[in-house]
Amino acid sequence: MTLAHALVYVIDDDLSMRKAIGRLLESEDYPVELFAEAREFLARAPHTGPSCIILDLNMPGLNGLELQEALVERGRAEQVIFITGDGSVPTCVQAMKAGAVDYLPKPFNDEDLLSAVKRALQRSSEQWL
Amino acid sequence: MPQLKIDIIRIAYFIGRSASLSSMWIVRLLSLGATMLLILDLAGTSAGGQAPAQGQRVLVLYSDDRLLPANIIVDEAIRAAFAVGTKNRVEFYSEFLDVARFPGEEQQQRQRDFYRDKYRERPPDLVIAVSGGALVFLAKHRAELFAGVPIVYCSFAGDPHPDLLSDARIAEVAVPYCVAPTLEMMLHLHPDTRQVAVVSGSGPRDRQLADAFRQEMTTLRDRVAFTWLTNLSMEELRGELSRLADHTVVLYLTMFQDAASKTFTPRQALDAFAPASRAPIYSCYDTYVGHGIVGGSVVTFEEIGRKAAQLGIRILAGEDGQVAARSMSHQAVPVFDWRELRRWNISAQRLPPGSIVRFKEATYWEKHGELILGAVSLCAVEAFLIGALLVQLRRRRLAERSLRDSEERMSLAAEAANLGMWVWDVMRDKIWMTDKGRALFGFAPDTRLDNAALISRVHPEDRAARAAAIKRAIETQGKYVMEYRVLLPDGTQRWIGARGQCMNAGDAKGTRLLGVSMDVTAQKLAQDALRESEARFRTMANTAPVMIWMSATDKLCTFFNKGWLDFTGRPLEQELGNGWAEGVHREDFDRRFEVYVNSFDARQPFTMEYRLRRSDGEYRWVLDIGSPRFAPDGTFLGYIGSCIDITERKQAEAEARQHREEIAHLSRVAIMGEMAGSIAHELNQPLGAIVTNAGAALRSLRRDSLSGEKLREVLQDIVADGRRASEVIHTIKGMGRKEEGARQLLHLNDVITEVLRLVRSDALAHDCTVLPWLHPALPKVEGNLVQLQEVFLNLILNAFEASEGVPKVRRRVIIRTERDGDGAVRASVRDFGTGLPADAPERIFDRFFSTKRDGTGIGLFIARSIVVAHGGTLYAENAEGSGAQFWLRLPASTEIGV
Repeated sequence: MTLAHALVYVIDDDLSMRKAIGRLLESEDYPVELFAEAREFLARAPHTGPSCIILDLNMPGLNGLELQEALVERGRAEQVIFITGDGSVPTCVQAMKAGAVDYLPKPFNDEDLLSAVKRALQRSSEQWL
Repeated sequence: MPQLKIDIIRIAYFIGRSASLSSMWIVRLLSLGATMLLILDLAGTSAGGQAPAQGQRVLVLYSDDRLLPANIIVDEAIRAAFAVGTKNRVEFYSEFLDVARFPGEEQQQRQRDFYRDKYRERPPDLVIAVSGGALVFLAKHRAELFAGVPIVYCSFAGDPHPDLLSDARIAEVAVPYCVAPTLEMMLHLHPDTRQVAVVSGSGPRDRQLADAFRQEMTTLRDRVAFTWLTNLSMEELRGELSRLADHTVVLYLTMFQDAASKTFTPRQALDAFAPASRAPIYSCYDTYVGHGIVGGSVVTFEEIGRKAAQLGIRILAGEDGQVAARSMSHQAVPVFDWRELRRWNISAQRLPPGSIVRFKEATYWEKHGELILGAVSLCAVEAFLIGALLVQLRRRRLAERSLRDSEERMSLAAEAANLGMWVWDVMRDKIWMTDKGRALFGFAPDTRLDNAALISRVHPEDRAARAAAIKRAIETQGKYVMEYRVLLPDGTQRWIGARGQCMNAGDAKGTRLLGVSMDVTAQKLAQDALRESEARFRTMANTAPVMIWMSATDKLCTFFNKGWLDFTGRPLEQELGNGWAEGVHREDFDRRFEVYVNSFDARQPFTMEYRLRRSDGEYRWVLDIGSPRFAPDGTFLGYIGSCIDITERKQAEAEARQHREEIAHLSRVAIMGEMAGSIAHELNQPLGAIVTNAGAALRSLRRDSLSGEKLREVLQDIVADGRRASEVIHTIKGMGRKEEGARQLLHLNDVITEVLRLVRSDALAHDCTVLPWLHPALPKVEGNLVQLQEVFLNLILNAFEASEGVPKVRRRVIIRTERDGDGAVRASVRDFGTGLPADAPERIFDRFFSTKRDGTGIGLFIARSIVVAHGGTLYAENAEGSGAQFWLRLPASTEIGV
């Protein structure tokens, strides 16, 4: 079911949310790495293999959209799934235009998140083929 | 000899007839004064035609508005004084900075750039700066503008010192501030005065002059009490003035702007409030006389303009400006309005010596004295002539009396009427003339006279016309009426008015011309002077960049200047009378007409706005300011008015208002949106975690991979997130308390005043009058400025909207502040609108409850939360009579100091 060498990142400043998503993904046997902020993630060496990021939109420091922009600029292959507490139509449009796989308002259905992750890794793996 | 006898009898008849003709002359000459402005030579001269190739250029730079009456007078006086004071050709330019209405550095820079480009080809040789604003402007921009050009500076009270321009080429005409002498005069005329109410506006310039006044009046402070009527709207000022106590006199400084930020020329403001005053008003500006002030000690603006021009002429002639300026002095004179003196029952005998009294209604004798005198003397002459005639007839019947007697009497009669009589026997070319007549032409009593002798005295230029008139009279056996000049041997020139009649004794040989002549030099000169002053007026009117109209006593228009005709694109003939009304917009016509007629009948000045069709067919908004015209003797002559196109200004105003409304609405919507957004974010975070945790646990359960330890962890996290969500809700409930750090000590009056400034255009848009009855000595409160402003903004805007359905006179909003015992401050906002829902007035504070079509129903909810967070209360009730009243109570700060 899972792709080889795949990796899912979770970036959310809210510890409780981060942990919950981590649990959900582990229950489906995805390898997961958790980050409390975007800069921490950028400091890590890129994963060599299909990967995606579950990214909170509103964070102190570098926010979700800014991180997405930074990744696009660097030509990184990670696919992005946005999650947000108070989404608006304009930010959603901006995120999707910049290539996000999905945009999920909190609280979201676990099925929705998992299917988004699946699609994201699929898309990412195509780049590694 | 018998022929001559008959002639004399004929002359007697003729004089009898021409006597009544002469009286008509006098009537006409007298009425000339009254009709001076009406007789306009419309084909007149135009001064703006061609610029002189060489000449001196004078730029007059005014600080204020072009239509400020003082500026109009000063401008005219400057030009007139240059006209008589120098032979050089002088080109004038006038610029008006209007700093009161267009302040700010950027505006000044734009003006500087504009002037720099405009005057590049025609740099002025002299700049006359009228009042401080112009000087400040020059001080800032002179390096790029008019560098090195000498400046004459007319400074008034409160204006900066000329040292501001550290430049030796500036000469000052310092106009003394005459408030102290005016106050002295007021106290002299009203010895029982207990207080002086000082009226001043709220504009920056008003404040500046009021400060200057405060310094001046220190010496008088012990003698009389001063009350300040300032920071009031026009409506409030009128109210205050109508309630003044006895033994009060009013001193008016200026009002360029009232507390409701309405702008005026100070004279317009005076026109608006003077009728309401129950105490006499004095001031020290000459332009106010005739607009409701009793009088004052003034330096006339005409004199100021003249002095500035004289100084300018001397500087242009190479004199040192500062030395020349030192030799000038300004004399303040007491000026009064006769009608006001009567209104307040002030005896003219109490006026200080040398007083000028204007608008004096002439007594019957003064008005018509000349006419009465003329009529009486002519009656006397006629009676005398009839008597003489009877005597003559009797003598003729007796056939034996001396002819010479009657001849002498006739001469006497003619002399009494100052007429010279003559008979010209055309065929024999013999002229008989009374001694008086001979004197008119400078002939000795015994010289033999013929036509050639007479012609030799007629001015060469008038000879042909005179000969033609005589020829016509002889040919038609008709009358001969003309005026011509006579040159006397001693070189003096006089005007003769002659009337004659051709008489024929049956055959061509008997053709005689007989008639009377009189000296009309004085009338002629007066007429010429009149024409000259008319021509000057016309030139001014036609070169002025405004539209000017004039009407006569029958309300019909008799004059439109070039500016008007250029604007409407119609010829003068079409505009005259009521023709102009065709250009007024149909919707504005009735109102325009009503204001005009009512003001006219009351002889009151008026200001109105209406739409007028421009030559391209577009209707433009114009501001029309009309004033009654009076002759020097006080006779009413009609009206004069000037208009300017204010379409752009009106558009800008409307846009600003709309902008303001949008912001107000957006800010209210935004508050709600923000609250909802923050609630959502704060709650979604823990809820999201709960749902995800629970989902993960369920999945693990399904796969049987959930250890007890792991389940405990998940459940602990879910419990913690549930708590967190509950805390979020708790925090939102006490959100007001969260802002405690931003609290400060505040004056509630300041909070309200600031809000009123924000809602000024809303008040205008809703036609609402705001009455802030603010207690002057309230204790401070501790609070968050922005939040409290939000509360009042809500209450006041609601009051405006509630007033929408009621008649304009009732659209008032009263905002009151007062102490509530020792420990609290109370404010109320009251409207006279539709009131609150009768069944449950408190519901309006519920969330999402709105009585308004487009209301969000959140404003009052927030307002109450804020007040409660400040430890206060906010409640509403239906007020007595009609409308709603909101009560806000806040605890006073415990800190000492008010």
